[in-house]
Amino acid sequence: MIGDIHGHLTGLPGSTATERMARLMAIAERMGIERQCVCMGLNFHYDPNPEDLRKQNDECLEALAHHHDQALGLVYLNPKHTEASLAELERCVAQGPMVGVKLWVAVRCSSRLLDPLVERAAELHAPIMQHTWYKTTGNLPGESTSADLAELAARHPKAQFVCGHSGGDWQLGLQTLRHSPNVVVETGGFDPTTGCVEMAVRELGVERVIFGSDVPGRSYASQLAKVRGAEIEEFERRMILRDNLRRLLRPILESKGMRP
Amino acid sequence: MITDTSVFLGAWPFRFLPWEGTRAIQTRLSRNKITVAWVSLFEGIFHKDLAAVNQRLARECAVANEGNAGTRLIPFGVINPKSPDWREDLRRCVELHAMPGVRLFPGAHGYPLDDPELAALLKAVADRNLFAQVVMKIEDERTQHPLVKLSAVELTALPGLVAKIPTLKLQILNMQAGVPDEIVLPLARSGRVWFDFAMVEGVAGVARFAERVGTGQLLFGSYFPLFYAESALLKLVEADLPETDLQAIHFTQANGLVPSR
Ligand SMILES: [Zn+2]
Repeated sequence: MIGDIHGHLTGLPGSTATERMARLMAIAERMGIERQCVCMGLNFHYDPNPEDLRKQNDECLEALAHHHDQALGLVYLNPKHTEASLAELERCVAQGPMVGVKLWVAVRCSSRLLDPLVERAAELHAPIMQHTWYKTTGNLPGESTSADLAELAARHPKAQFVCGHSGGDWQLGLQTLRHSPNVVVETGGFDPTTGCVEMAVRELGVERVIFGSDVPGRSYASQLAKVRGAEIEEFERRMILRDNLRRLLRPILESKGMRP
Repeated sequence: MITDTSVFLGAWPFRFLPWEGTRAIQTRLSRNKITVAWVSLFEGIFHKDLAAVNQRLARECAVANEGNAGTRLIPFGVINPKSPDWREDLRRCVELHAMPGVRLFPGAHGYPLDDPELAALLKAVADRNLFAQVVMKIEDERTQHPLVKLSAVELTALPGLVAKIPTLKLQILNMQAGVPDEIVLPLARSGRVWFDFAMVEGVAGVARFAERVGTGQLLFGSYFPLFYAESALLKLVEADLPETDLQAIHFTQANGLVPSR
């Protein structure tokens, strides 16, 4: 009974989104994942144009089609293309089955370009998952740190954000989010380094930590291990693996008449 | 029964770990049903007086193993072929501390695998019937402390080296699955090189890696306590291998190389 907020369709066997999703869901089931969120398409682009956004979201919609409410989708947007992104938000979330927003590395998320997208997402109760990393080796030009996200979140207190990868270098990332109550951290996409979940719980409180894997680039195993192996209480493990995601998505799922 | 071939004791300089001291590590290993652990000290990566590091390791293991029914700790000394008198360091590992193997850090100690001193060291290791572990990577480059600028060890020279020392038995720790087949396959086919999978990633990534090298060349290694040991344990669940393969990876193969008694 685990919910995973962070999955993709790249790097899996299969030429269609349907085939790849079937493969992913089979392994998810073996690992005890009951609900899998996915976002983006069969191929990634750092800076997708409007046409590519639509294509990737179509592929994601196709992946969701056969898995009822066990598979959930986040709409992929590019803040550089405001109109196209707002249109995708309407098509995939307001009118479609998707339940949140995914932003990757097109623009640093402290940019004002995000504001119209965030405002509309907040109206829809759609949480926004933003990729973040602190790389010793240097970030991509449009790649956000969790400090960028803290800045964005402070501008939009009514919106709900998910900090992808807990900032990547979590010892740094978690510190930047101490004063951002509308940001939860997602635990996926970095090595299963000990202490990460312990620090997240200590600095942010357990209710602000949710499980994500970033499969298939990562294994479920290494990412689940962070929560399974952490020196925390059993009820805290349940919150991170299941309850916190449910709480995060409850408003939008209920507005869509879906099971929270 | 599980033998964990990749465990560390001692202090990691870049963050506090959730477990402090050898006893806490040993207890945590036991909780994961890890019955035997091959251990080195983190200090072996950073210190220059490795004889002192290895002596400390031997003492830590002896104290921990005494009268304890928990995880048995088997010391693997750290040797640096660039140390002025590594032959004496090696002699002490064997003759004073009865260590069955050694762990090498070419990246952190700053030598390539075609270094002639490494060839001499591996020859000496094989002559003394020791098992060698070569650590390919210590940490994700992206999260290293800014003072540390290490990349993964380049393995190109290794197949030749293994071929030249016909009695050498060696394991790559923190193996990177991105190493191309022209390097990985000769190593695997030699039958004298084994791999862990602590850093082998991707959904069912270990199943794919096992197909490349053969389950006979895999040894369980968790990289605990830098990584949660649950990661390597769960990777084998995700790989969905037959029970006999699991046993071989968990225990039989490692025990054949370094008997735990
Ligand atoms: Zn991702």
